[in-house]
Amino acid sequence: MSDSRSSASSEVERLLDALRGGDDEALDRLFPVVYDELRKLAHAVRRGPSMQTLNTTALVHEAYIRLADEGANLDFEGRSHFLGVAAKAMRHVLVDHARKQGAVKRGGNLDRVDLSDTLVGTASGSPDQHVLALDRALDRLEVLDGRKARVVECRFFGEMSVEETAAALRVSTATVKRDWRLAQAWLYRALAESDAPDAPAASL
Amino acid sequence: METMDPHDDDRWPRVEALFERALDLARRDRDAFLVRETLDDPTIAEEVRALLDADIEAGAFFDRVAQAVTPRDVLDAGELTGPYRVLDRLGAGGMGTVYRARRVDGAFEREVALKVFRTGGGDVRRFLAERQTLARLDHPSIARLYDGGVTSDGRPYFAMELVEGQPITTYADTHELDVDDRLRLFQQVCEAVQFAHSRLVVHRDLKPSNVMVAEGDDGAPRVKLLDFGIAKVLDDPDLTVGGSVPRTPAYAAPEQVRGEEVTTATDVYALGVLLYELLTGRRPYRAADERAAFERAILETEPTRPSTAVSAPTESDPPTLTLPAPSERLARRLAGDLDQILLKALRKEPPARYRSPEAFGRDIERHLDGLPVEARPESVGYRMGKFVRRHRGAVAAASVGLSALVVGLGVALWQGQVAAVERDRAERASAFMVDLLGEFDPTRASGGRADPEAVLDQAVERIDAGLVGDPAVQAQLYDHVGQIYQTYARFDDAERLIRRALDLRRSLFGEADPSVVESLNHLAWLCFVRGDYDGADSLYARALAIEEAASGRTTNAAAASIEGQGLLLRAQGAPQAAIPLVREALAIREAAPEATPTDVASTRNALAALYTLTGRHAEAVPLLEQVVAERRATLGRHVHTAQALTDYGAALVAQSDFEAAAAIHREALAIRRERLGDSHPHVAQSLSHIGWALQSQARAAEAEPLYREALAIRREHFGEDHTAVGNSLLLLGEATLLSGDVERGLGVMGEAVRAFGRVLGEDHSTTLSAELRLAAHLDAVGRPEAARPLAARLLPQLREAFGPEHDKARQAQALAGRLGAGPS
Repeated sequence: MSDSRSSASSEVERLLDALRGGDDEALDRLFPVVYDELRKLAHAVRRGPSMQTLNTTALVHEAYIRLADEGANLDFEGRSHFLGVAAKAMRHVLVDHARKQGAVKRGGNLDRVDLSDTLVGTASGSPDQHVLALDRALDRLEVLDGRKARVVECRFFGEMSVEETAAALRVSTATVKRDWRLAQAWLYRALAESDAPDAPAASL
Repeated sequence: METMDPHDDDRWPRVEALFERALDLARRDRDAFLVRETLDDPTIAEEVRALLDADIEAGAFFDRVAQAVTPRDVLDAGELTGPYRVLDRLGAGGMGTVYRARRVDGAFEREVALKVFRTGGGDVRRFLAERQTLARLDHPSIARLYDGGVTSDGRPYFAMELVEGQPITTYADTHELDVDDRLRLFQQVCEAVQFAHSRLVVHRDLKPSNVMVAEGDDGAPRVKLLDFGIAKVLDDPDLTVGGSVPRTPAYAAPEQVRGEEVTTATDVYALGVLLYELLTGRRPYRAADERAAFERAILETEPTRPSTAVSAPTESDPPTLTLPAPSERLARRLAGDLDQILLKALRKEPPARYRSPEAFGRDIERHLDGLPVEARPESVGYRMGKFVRRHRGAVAAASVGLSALVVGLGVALWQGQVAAVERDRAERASAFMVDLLGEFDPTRASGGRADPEAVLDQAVERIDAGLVGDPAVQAQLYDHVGQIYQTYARFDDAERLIRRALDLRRSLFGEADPSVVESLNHLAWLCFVRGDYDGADSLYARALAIEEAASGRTTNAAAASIEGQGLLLRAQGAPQAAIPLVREALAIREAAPEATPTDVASTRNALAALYTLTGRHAEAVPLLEQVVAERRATLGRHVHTAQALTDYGAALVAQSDFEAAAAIHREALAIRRERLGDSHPHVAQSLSHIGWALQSQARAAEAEPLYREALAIRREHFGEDHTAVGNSLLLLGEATLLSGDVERGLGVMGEAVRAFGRVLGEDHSTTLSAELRLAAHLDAVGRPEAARPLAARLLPQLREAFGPEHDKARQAQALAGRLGAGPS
């Protein structure tokens, strides 16, 4: 373990302590720290001897799980708030990574994902493209309905349970279930539809 | 049809509401509903319809995208890892993912379970070394470990026997086993765990998902234990919470929760939880949402008597399994023997549990045979009795010593500095030791008792006889076993073996060999421990001379000798003279690459203790600060961190930095509350320290409630007659008095004096010192008539107890003089 890891961890730890002590502002200060920590963790994990079978997003994912463990000692609500922050950070790290992979350079329509072909490693549906497309669709959803975008962040990027998501967003589990279902349907359409996502909606 | 755009968000609430209501309708009714509801704006109906269409596919689509974007699998089917080809994924857990795989190099045909661990910060070399120990666990009820290695991207993996079966709880449930069947099945588990313990492997993470049951060819259930010893191999902060605490605390023993040494007794405890669950369908402690609350229950709450657990109302705590009998009948069956057996296995103090899984299984056998069981009703006398206290250290040392035997050799294997020839030697030693201790069945040698000392004695005979052709390995094992004897305080045996190792090494390698230096240092330490300071001194000097000639005063071995010389001076009453030596040892270790972090930390601690002892608090403080920082970084919020903070806080008080000290003690308090619960004696200690730091700042009124809480904890733990209670009373009395309630304060101080008198005797120096403080306070609050006779009595007694020149005697003299109470 590198020193940077432990010092960043202790910063997370400190903020978690504050959170535990009822300092809600700690939640706001947590995001940049967690974001930074995730990036470093993912980077550290990646320094393996060989990359031949490694899926980078799997590594970021691992880093996320490890980081999520840091909140293990919080009570349920505190932990959920922390996970909510971490989920947002996870989204940003994955998007950063996907951008860096140069997916953009290949050109073409990034927002379009071939629905019949969404498995890892296929030409038209690399994880990077999925991430970027989903991120842009989520940005649009956010403008329309911020809470649903948060639900997607928690459930999708943070892999949080319905109960955790409800606690993090301070809504009922029934609301989370409804939001999640509608958000998925909306995003499915957003990802599947026209080639010109930025064009203003003509009809409707 | 576009998705609804942000610009149209005024329609969104209606879309949302209609979407949700439509979902509740049958598909064929939805269209009519939407048309009816959106007569004013049909575009809304279209949007909702499109979303409803999307809804059909969306869930599955997101699952697939999730698999692509946040994949849990690191390996794909068909992929090669070492000589294994991955067939498919069997499951995933906190530690990693398990795949079904097959060897491709034809070494054997069968399919294996390939467990690929998440990359941790753990030491892969240690992992590889220890897997060899685990691979020797050959027992029909233990899933075999075939092989292990590291994937091309650096993840450790194990290839293990593929077990197709059910967790034992599920098996008992689905097969509706009765109580006897469950007990017999459980005995198989005890046998397997016993076998592993006799091979010096502790499981550390026994729980139903690791105890599988498969049906043999004859249809009879066979137990198969998974993951034996793996928790130990992966004892890595990234994989477990707080060192050795498993992720799921449900089966964790109190010592694991406290972060203390895990021993065979820890497995006995987990077996107890397992049997409890098998018989009652519940766990001994009600699961709390909060981990901390649950851990507190493990540390402090007595488990519900199994017979009570099954007969109590079950609404809030329904059983997770089908009970083996109707609850009333079951309660009658459990009451008595089985209650006692389970409570014994679940005792909080490891030495009070069954000595071994074998003893546990044997008591069950006795119960099944209708014989009286070994587990007796617990009594307070037994619980706090001298027996346990006398044996606690020995029992703990026994388990630690034995596992150290194999683990110690394992550690030698991976240390990069070990030269190839030495590594080879260590490997042979390790193999011999494991075979030796493995074949030896402790139950036969000592009348049914697993006596680790008997194992050692046996080991020595086998080293004598079995390794005559391999003297270098012999020497290493003698040295090793000798040190373990030392932990048992069998000093003569220890000396005999360590000397024999030294002689062998001298004759094999000559005087100027690192192994000779090692032997000399070990022998010196033994002499030191026995109080033979002259012997220790000359041995350390000899070791240092050899090492210095070969490598200068720069190596970890040289530092060991130098530190030893320093500690000798301290033990002989010259701590000032010890300081430069220990300081040098620390400097060497900080620079020596072969010194482990533990070496450095222990020397740093020794130096800090010397500074404190000699009143050089200004120098102790930065060292203690460093110790605290190390503990924080490596252990986090651990009980050891709290201990380091406490030492640090005490040094700050000695430097009169009361405000900083209070903050440090508060941090320690928070950790201790979190890790140990609110009513642990260590919590009382921290409370008292904080109180003292406050009282020293003339904030006695703030200290008082802290002392009061500390007193309550200590009374609960130690009863009325204990010096800790006396101390708390004394502090509380003073604080009460100083914050203005003179009468009550004096009364409580008097109580303190009486408590010390009962526990230590009325002439004891502590009792007298407390009385002196009481006398001084009586004088200060203007009651010379009460203070005078007290001072007159105390003066000769204190002179007697401490000597006439001691501070206390002088204080008493001054007081008596002022009051005109001096004896002639």
